[in-house]
Amino acid sequence: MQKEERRLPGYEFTNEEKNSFLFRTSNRILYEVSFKPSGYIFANDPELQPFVFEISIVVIENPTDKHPPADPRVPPTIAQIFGSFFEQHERVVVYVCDTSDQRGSVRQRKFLNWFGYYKGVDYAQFNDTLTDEEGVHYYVSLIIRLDNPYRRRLLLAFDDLLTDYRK
Amino acid sequence: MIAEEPKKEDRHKQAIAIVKQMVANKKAAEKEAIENYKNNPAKQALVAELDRKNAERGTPIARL
Repeated sequence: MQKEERRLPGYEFTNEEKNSFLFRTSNRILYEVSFKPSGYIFANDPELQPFVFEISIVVIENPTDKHPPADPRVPPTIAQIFGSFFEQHERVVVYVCDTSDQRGSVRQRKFLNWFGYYKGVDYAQFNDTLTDEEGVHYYVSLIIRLDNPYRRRLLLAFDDLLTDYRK
Repeated sequence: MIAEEPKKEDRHKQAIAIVKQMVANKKAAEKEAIENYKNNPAKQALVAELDRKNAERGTPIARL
């Protein structure tokens, strides 16, 4: 049985600037979701590079002066934005969690929760963790449409970037 | 002549460097987004138009 919450409508958003999406919540918090070309991640396969993007989700205005509360309409909004961005189905989004304040795993869980809204049968997500010499963990996720014509190569490139170094 | 495969340790360093670059880019993009909004009248106009439409509809929530 499908959860009712999956049908919760998100917020209206605007996409007048290339690869940038803006939306305002009921609490008047303004978010920008942007996708930045990041071909350098898969430097070993130049043909893939035009399709690789990093995502950032930023609060750019917060009149409440408080930490933005959990808002059940944000995940479906992000889902709709992803749907729009992935209309070009060769695209791939790579997400990395900032670990500088030891909250990387929390951020990754939050992002995975958002992903749950748009995963369905159309998208796939692959997650991995890298650990540096100081023991700092880096959580990395890759999201693609299942009909991405470069799917196999993208997964190999992602694997090549991370797999050899798993414990 | 066959190119030598990078050593495992070198590949690990390379991967860590890429991921650290991603984190740095992400932080820079966040700062840039906030500054860009403060100083970009075109972006402020986009938001004003979004706010106007939301006010007209009486809600920021999208229609199903």
